[in-house]
Amino acid sequence: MITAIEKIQEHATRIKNGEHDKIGPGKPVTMSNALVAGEGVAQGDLMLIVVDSVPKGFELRQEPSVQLVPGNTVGAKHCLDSLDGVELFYPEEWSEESLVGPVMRLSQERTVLHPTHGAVTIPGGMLVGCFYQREWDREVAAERRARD
Amino acid sequence: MKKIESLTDAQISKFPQYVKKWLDIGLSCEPCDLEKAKKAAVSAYKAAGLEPPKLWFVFDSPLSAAVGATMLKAQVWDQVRAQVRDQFRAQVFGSHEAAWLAMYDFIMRELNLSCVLPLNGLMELAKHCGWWSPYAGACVLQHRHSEVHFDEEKRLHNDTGMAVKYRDGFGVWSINGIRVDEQIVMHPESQTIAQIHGEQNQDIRSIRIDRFGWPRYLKESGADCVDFRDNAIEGTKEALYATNEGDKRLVATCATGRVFAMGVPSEVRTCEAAQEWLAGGKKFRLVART
Repeated sequence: MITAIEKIQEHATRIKNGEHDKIGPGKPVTMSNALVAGEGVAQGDLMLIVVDSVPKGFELRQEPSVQLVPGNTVGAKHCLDSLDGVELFYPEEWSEESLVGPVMRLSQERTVLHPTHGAVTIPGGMLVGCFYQREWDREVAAERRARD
Repeated sequence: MKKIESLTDAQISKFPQYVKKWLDIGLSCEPCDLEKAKKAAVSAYKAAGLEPPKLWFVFDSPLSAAVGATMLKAQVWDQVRAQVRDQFRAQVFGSHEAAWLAMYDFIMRELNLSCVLPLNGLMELAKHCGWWSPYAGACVLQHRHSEVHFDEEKRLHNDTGMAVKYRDGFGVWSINGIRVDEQIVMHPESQTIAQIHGEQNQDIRSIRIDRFGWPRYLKESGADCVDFRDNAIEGTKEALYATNEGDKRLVATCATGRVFAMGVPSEVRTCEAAQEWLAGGKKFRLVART
């Protein structure tokens, strides 16, 4: 009997070979204007989610960065193609451990690029927040080290 | 002398150049420059008020140096017993002392503090050789590593060979800063479930499974599939597995066609709940993945 893992592995092979109609390596995505707060698109482990307002405590940064995830790893290189027409509001604490990143107010269309994932285009007029995927292994290892 | 209370902006602006200089020294893979290293060692001996050594030995690595020093003690030490009285035996880490020498180099050059001058010999040694062992009458010098590899977070790492390698083949295997053995790096597929389960160090155990492959580990270790879903909206398939130790893993595809097994807390019972935990507890509705 085929196991769940085998089903997933077969599915992954289809994606890798470009045989899946919806997702594929490097396939770009455009966020729809119809998305409402709480809906969005994942670019790898970065979730770009429509929000209805800038959360309390977030501050407009005068010299923001095009990079939306802190850190120097390839995985962190989720970058806006330009800062033109973008206001970026940052949380008080923005670090590699934080699960929340900047909120973008776009007055014109912008694209989030990444070295391995497909580009995500966001139409102008949207307010989009960056949310990061939790990492269980990292959290457990940090807890272990703290205990040691 | 006036006490220095703080550094000027001009002095602070020079930090990056010292960081680069000493990183380059510490990471250099050049062989030992014997003449310059000897001269520097003599300076270090004099700074410590010791007679410069008469005998010099050069080895390829800390291992061969340790073996060599032991053999030399047996064969040569006796001949020079009159002069040889060990002053200090600890290995000195030469170029690998860069981290702390950088600070004193800055103090010496930018603050002009002469009290740091006695460290000049050690600084020069760091520039020209690897680890070294000073003894009374004899000095053992070593070549620097011939290769050193890091991950993106600058931790010792090489998943295709030694992370630190010396000219005689000695070296260190390391994955993301954790020291492991050759099998884990070079032949991870040859590990057994018993080996993985017998690993007492949790960091290494985690690396063992990552290298072995989570999907294969879950299959071969008899983990239970507790939930499966076809996520038509995102175009992915997901399965939640519980290992024999009670850990939970969400196995899923991503848009690059890779298979991941992401850890989630053991109380998570469904794929949907696992995704919610991964999203920081928020019930987002993802309409696409890329």
